[in-house]
Amino acid sequence: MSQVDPFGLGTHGATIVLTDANPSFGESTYRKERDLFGLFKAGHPHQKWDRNYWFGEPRDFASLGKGLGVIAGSSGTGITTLGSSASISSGTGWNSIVPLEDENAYSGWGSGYFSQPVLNVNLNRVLGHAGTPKSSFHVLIFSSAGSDSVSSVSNIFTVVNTPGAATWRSFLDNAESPNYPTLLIHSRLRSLIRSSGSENFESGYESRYRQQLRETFASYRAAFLDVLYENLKVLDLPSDLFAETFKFVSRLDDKESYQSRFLFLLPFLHHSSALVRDAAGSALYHLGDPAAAPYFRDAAKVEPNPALRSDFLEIAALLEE
Amino acid sequence: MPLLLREVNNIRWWDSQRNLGEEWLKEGELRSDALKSLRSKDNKVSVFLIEDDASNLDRILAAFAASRQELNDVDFAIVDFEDVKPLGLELRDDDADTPDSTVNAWHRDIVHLSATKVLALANYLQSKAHFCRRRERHIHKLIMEGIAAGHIDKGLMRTELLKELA
Repeated sequence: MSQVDPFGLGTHGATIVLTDANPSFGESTYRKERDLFGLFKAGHPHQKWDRNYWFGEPRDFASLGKGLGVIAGSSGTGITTLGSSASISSGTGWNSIVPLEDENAYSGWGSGYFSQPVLNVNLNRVLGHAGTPKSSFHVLIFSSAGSDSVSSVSNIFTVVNTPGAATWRSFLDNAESPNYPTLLIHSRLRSLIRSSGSENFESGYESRYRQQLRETFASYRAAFLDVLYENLKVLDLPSDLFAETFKFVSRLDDKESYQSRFLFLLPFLHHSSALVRDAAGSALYHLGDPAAAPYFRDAAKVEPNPALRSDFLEIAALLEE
Repeated sequence: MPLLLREVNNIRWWDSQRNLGEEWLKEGELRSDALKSLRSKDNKVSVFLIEDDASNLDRILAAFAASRQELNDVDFAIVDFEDVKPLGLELRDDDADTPDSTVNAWHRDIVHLSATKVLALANYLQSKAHFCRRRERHIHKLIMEGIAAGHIDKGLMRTELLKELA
């Protein structure tokens, strides 16, 4: 079985899975996704969640053969010991449910909700049954379940029993597109990035680089966005290349990948480079999604550049108009 | 003498404040990337004349943006020509190629630019110019108003942009 480590935690890493007990939860779906995503928005810029593969049909994690790390919420006190929920213990085929140490409490529903909490959770401090730290684990589940009401914290996270489900697959396998060899996509992308070095990007015009990204996306779809994200995360690229890439992400005429692209851009509001943060802001603004407004406000709270901080607040207000 | 408007690639390149990771940049120094905004052609840099009361600013922005392929934020710098004239800059009439003929007549080129003058202009801009960004939604509105008012000739606009505006 292929093991993926989207959070880059290496041998002590975890594959983070976001599931939902009730995939047809209706109108509040988006709101929930946003809020769940908010768990990581500042601290873990590696998330790559897409309804296509993080949500949807329940899966059976039994074949993993190792412990599961589960984070559940309870009554507004934050990341708490797990196993207290009846639904956890009723899970079948889960070799061990490991609680995550309660390190950080979130402050409750409302403004700023989830803006800080799990960000600082030390994923290497997942505890085993006896309360001793586990040296490794495979899966953390952030699970949204219960009713559509998201007005109480306890409703946000509970652990889902996944009866009779499909076999666990890696996140790339779970994408709707075929499982293209990641290395091939990496190679293609690196080639595009190299050749972009000779190009002058001009605002108001689609660059050759952007055209090529579009063409490559057409071939590899979601897998390409994953690889692109991973590369942006680790490569030290010129800020105008980031900006041009973000334009590609925000301007792609593809409704199916909209949610992925929205989530793709959010973490870059917290990038170490002000120019990259600025470019991510412009790309998100282009999407025109009011759901981005709280992220801009949160980013503004920690933005060290006064002009950019002001920009973020302006964009948040514009998106909410 | 009116004000000059120059489109810049990214106003963040002109921030006088150093960002994290820019400790290498001395106080008041210019990022070299900022010079990309003053890329010359035939030793000329394109500018528009803005009335002192900025009454023609929106029309210029609309026309300028309407000449492009896609809708974007527009970043620009405004500076008084009298202030930069001592740098040895010369202005020459030269119509632009926007879909608004009136705006085209407000276009000028700064000519006979040596690299030294470009650098001097860039330094001056960073310290004295007024940098602005108009968000693309605002630009969208200005273009639509320009079309409605008959200032902008849709027939001269690119199909990609017209599609985006629709």
